[in-house]
Order: sequence, then structure tokens, then C-alpha cells
Amino acid sequence: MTERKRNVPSRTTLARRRASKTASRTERKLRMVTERARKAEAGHRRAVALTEMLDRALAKEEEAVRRLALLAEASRILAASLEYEATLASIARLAVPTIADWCIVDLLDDQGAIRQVGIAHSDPSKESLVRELRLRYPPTPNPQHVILRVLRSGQAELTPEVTEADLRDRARDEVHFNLLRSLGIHSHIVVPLIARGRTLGAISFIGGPSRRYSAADLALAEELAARAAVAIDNAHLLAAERQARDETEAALRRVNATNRLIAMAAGALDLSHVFDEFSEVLRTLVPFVRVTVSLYNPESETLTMPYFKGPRLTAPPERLEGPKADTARGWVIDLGQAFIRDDTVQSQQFAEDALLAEAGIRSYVVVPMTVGGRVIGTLNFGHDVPGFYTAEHAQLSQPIADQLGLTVSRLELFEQTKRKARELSVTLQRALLPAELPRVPFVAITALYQAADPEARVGGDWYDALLLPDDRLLISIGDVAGHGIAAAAAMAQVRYLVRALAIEGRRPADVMAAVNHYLLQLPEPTNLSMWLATLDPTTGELIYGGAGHPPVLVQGTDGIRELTSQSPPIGFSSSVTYQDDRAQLASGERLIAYTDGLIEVTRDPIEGERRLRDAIAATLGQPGDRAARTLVTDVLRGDRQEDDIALLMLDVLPSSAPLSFALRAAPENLRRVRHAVRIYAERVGFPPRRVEEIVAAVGEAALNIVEHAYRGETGEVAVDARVRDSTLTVSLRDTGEWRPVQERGRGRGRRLMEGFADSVETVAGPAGTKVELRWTLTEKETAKAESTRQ
Amino acid sequence: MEVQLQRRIVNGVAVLDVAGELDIYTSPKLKTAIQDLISEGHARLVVNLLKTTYLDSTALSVLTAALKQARENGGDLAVVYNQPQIEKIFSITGLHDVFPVFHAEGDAVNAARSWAKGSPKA
Repeated sequence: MTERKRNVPSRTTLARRRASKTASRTERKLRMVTERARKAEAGHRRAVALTEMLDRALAKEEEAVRRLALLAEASRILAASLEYEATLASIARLAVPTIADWCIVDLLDDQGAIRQVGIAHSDPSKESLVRELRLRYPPTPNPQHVILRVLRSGQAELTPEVTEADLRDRARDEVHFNLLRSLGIHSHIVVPLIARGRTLGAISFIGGPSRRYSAADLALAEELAARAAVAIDNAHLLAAERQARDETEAALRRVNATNRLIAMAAGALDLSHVFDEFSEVLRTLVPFVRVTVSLYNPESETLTMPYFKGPRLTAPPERLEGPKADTARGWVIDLGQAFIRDDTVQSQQFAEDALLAEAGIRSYVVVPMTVGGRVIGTLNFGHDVPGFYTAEHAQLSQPIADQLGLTVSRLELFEQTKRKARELSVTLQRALLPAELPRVPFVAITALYQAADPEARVGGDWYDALLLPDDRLLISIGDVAGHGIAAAAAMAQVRYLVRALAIEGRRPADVMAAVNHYLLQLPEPTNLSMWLATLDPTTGELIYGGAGHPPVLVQGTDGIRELTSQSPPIGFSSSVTYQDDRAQLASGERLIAYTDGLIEVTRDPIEGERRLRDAIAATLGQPGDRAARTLVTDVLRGDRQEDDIALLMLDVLPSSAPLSFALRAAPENLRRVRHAVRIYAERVGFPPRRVEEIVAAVGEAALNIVEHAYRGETGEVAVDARVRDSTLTVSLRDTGEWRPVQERGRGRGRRLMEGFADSVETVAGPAGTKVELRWTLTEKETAKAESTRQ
Repeated sequence: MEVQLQRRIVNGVAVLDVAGELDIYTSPKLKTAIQDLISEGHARLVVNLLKTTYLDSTALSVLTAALKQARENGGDLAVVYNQPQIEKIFSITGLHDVFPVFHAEGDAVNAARSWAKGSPKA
């Protein structure tokens, strides 16, 4: 800053010289001419005048020094702080009373509006009047207004004398006039604040009754203004620089945050993890004490709140969930714009405002999560300070909310796909496993399939049971290597292949060899373990074969034995030979076959098998379905199931057990019904001749049911036989609707039933029609039967 | 498997051996076998049920239809059985009075030879 050179000091020196010269001349004249006393008198008066002049000159010099000091002080103040508005207020104060009786500093903002930043009055009590003046009579866009004129022209204005008439001219009304007059405006200077060619504002110096401004005052005011302008400009530059730096940092932070989110979201498979990450990133941009995420379901028009962090609501609901109507979030979803609540205590437009207020959340922001133009939910954050948030917070969080929206929709899609795949898997698995196990005479079959938790994938495990044409029962169980659709497809092929071969009458060894051949010629060979057997249900004769399968266990009354088989798994080599093994199952014994998923639960098959044997022992005597569930539960013992589990159990029923089975109501199955009833009747002690009669009557009853099949109806014939109090009751039910058959002399069938059975009863019920046939054992027959059994 | 049928001509009389079970599933085979014999001109028929282990009302229907046809052709149809349960089936249904019933095949064949129309058309 350069100081302008002034001529004030040279004027002072001249005055001093002139004063001393005049004094010496007066002494000389007093000594020489006494009569010229009058002149001397005059000379004295002149000397006094000169002395006064000198005093004035000295005062002027002091004034000049004061002015210099003022400028120096102003420079100091201006340099001390970059808070230029506060600084300008200090400048105004500095000017009063040295160079003004009151002073106003005005700044122009970016929009060209005038803002008063400093006021000072020599009478502090009048400062409020100045404020009132500005408040009531702000500078209007009136070209006559001196401040506006200065701001526009950039030229300082000096008004040495302001008369009352001038004031009246300027006043807009009487009150204004009085206000101006009481403030005291007698002279004024208005100087623009100009830096680098830009007008930043103006300083008004106003003189009271004893002050009249001169050009010298104007020069000082301009000097002061020039210094203030430079200071303001510097502060502006610095603020701009600082803002630019802040913005860069903020932008960098935003970019970093977004990048981090994108990177995280791309790999995330779990929403709760995503929410945590997002709230952490949000925290780097916006302060909050509580953050929540709401998702919108457009079908039900409801909101869920899958995530919240921060203070819980003091009263239920814990999460703000339910209808979208009458919520701030609903408003945001409908309008697609952020919502800012300044104070939840002051405004409780929405029910949640009160709930949040109670939890100490005073202000909050709701930001829409927009994906493809659709608002899928909102990101919400709140603060315990009322009025905390501004539009800037909403703007800052918007990219986070949008990125979160994208991530959520992507994950939802992923979850949806996964769910559909899971449903498909389960459906497929059910389709690939037998819908129903055969209910055959003298044995009970139970099976259980438990897909690996938690996702029910399609597995390569299977179980199967089928009554063969020669009345033997085929059972098979196995495990195709791998998981998923491919394994399940291979499994289904093998299962049906086994069925087809067994129906052809092939023995287990032949079946395994054929399956081996089949697998090896597949374009994508796979391998499997399996165990299969055919059982004569009436004799308990078992022909079986196992290939790489866990040992099948038989639980008898005296413990557990293993049915071992030596063959390696199928699908590895064509040179393997398979062998049939034989075993005899006694009545009352239970066969338990399973896939390795059961015993490999602990990743330790030996421990798994130990658990299984314990569990089998513990379930002795339990009915099959209950025992099967207990076995799996007891072996798993809450451990995570890693693999699919198939379990197949076969009970050879004790001879005392009631007979219960069901067959398709087909002509070829009548023989099976009669065969089973014949064996049962023999077992319970009827002599051969009566057995034939029983068979004849049951045959007619069953025929009656099956004849529906001839009429194009399908259904089952279910047979139950039991002996109670020496009376055999055989009941036959059809699952279809009973319709009397009127063809081919059917009266004979009825007559035969009635002729052979002790009693015949037909009961029509909602589930079908039941025919009950009864025979009572004579005492002699009963005694004989009992002695045979022992 | 469930039923085995074998036809023989004994002294000009067609004899059909039925071994096994006759029910709604197997009776059609009996019906076909008898139809074959009749269509070949045999009217004097003997159905030997001595090795039949089971016989139900559908088999009775086949037999009565065949009897009717044989008689229309001037012949007859005799049944041979001695098993108590089959005897009881015929008696309960009253058919033991309808069919010529014999306990031995020889008796049936002898009786058949005396029936009006005998040998197949030459």
C-alpha cells in the first residue's frame, strides 16, 4: 500500500519562520518609537492574532497526525483479521468520532443487494436509531439515493453542507425526516469500496452540526476506503480459495465414498452388510445420530425398515413400518424429492415425528432412493439438534441414497432369482423322488429326504421303492456325485433305469453292472454310490447289492447288524464286476439304508455312524415315520447339515401286526390282494379250507372295487385285516365313489361273499365305500393257532 | 403265469385244462380259449378245473356264456372239479345244477361222447 505525499508538513514550517520574524520586528519598533504605542497596540493585537494563527496551525498539524494515526490503525485492523465483515464494523467504529459523527458500512452481495455490515455513532444511544432508519427506510432503487449512486458510479461524493431543506427532500415521510434530523446529518462523504475494478460496497461518513467536510476529508476517506477495499478483496480471494479447496476435498470424499460403495455393492450378497457400509460412508459426508433405510412395496403401498442404527424409539413400533400414507417417507416417495424436518417437536405433521421426537431425534432428512426413475425407498437420517440440516445435507446424501437404491434392487433381484431357483429345486426334487411309497403287505416302508440346509438345492440323492411284477419289493437308495440340476438329472435317470431293469427281473448285480455301463457311456460321465435290494415281503428273503455305499443296517431284537457289500462305486471303471448278496430279514426287523450325508454331518463318518447306531437303538419299537425323523435329528444334533440326506427304512412287520396295504384298483392286483389275505389268514390260524373261503369272499369284494377300473375310473383298493377277540375282520375300501356294478350277473359276487363270510357289511362313507367281511375262529382253531405260534 | 390253459382232444371231446387262478384278469384268456375251440367246430367241451386254485364270479360268467354257446351249437360244456371251495362256489351260485359237473375228467369225457352233436365238422 502506498501513502500519498501531502504538503501539510511544508505549510507548517513556513508558518513558524514567519512568526519569529514578525516578533523581532515588533521589539525593535517598541524601543525606537514610544509614541507609536497605538501602532504597538495594534501590533500586539496582531501578534495575538498571529499566535492564534500559530495555535490553529499547530492544531491542524495535530489533526493531520491524528488522521495518519487513524489510517495506520485502520491498516492494522484490516490486516489483523480475514473476518472482513467484523473488521468493517470496527473500521466504522474507528472513524467515529475522529473523522465522522456517525458512519455506516454497506456491502454489495453477489445479487447486487445492499447489506449493512457496520454502524457506529458518536452517541451510542443513536445507533439503534440508525438501525431503525435502515430497517424502515432501506436504500431503495432510487437513483437519487446517494449510496446507490456511489455504488453505481464508483465515484466518491462529498456533500459539505446538508440543509434541513435537503433532508426534507430526501425524507420519504415525516417520520423519516424526523429520524434523519435527530441523527444529525449536516455534511457527509460517501466513498465506494473498490478493489480490482469491482465495487464491493460503500462507507458513509456523516458529520454532525459542528462538522463540515472538505476535500482533505474526502481524500482521507478515499484512502481509508481504498485500504478497506483491498482488505475485503483479499478476504474474498482467500475465502474463495478456501471454499474451492473445501469443495475439492468434499468432492474427493464423495468420489471416494461412491467408489467405495460401488466396489462394495458389486460384491455384496448380504443386505445388512450393505446397509452398514452405506451408513458408514454417509457419516463421512453428513453428521447424524440415527440412520435408517425404508423400502417401499408398491403393491401393498407399505414401507419396511430393513435397517436402522442409532437410538431406538422409546415406544413400539421399533421400526417405522406400515402404510406409506401419512409418512414423510411416503411424501418423498410420491414426489421424488428430499424432505427436511427442522424440528420434530415443533412440527408433528406425521405420526413418526412424535415418535422420533420422543427418541430424541429433533431434525431429520428423508432422501429418495431412485432407481431408473422409480423411488424404491428412502434413506433417512436424523440429528438430536433441531434445525441441524440444510438442503446441502440432502444434496450430499443423494448420491449415496441412489447408489444404495441400485445395490438394494440388484440384491433383491439376486435374492428373487435365488428364491426362484430354490423353489424350482425343491419342486424338481419332489418330482424326481417318488411321490408316494408303495403300501405293500407285510412290510412298512418309510423314507425321508432332507435337502442340505439352509438352501434346498437339488441333490443327487435318491430313494425308491417299487412293487415288482413277481411280488418282490424293489428298494434302492443312492447318491450321484455333485449337486445341482446336473446331479439331479443323472439321479433321475439312474433311478428309472434301476426300476426298469428290476421290473425285467434282473438281480441287483446285473442292475448295477447295467447302470455302470450306462454311466460310462454318458457324454459327461458321472459316478455314484448306490444300494439296492429286492425283498420277498412274505418270506423276508433279501437279495441285495451295494456299490460304494455306506453299510446298510438291520436292527433286530438282539442288536444291530450290518449288511456289507464289497463293490466299488459305479461310474469309474467298466472292468468292475458286481455281486449279489443275500440276507434274511426276520419279522419285526428294521432295515435302515441312508446316504452318506447323514453320517458325514460332523465331517467325521465314524462319529456320524456312532451317533446313528445310538439313535437306532434309541428308536427301537417306534413307528417308522417317527423313528426316521428322530434318527436324523439325533444324528445331526443341531450341527449344520452340509449335504443332502436320504433315508430309507423298511420294517418287516411281525406276524401279529395287522395287515394293511393299498394297491391300484387294477385287475392284475386282485391276485395280490388275495395272496396277502391268504397268508394273513393262515398266519392267524384259519385252517386251509376256511382260508380258501376267506380268499374267495375277499376276492369278490376286491373285484367289485376293481370293476370300477373297467369303467374308466382310477383309484385304489385299500385292504386292512386284523384279528380281535378271535374274529378276523377284513375291510376293503375303494377311494372312488361306490357305484353298483350291474353287469355280468354281478349278483353272483354278492352271493359268494355272503355265502363265504360269516358276515358282510357295506358301509358307504364320504371317503368311499367300505366292505367289511368277518370270520370268527372256533375255540378249537384258536387253540391250535396259539399252539402253532408257540 | 397266473393261469395256464391247455387244450386236448380226448376221444373227440375238446378238453381245456385250467391251472392256476381265474379272475377278472385271467378269465379273458379262458374266454378266448373256449371261443377258439367253438369256432373250430367243437361243441362238446370239458373244462377241467381240477388244477384251478381260485375262481371268481367273472370266471363263472365266462363259463355260463360258453355253456350257452355250446348248447346253441348242439353241444354242451361240462366242468370237472373236486375242490371243496369250488364246489361251494358252484353250489352257492346254483350253477352246479346248470352245468354237467364231474369229479373226474374221464367221466366227463364219457358223458360228452353221448351228447347229441359230437365231433368237429369234417
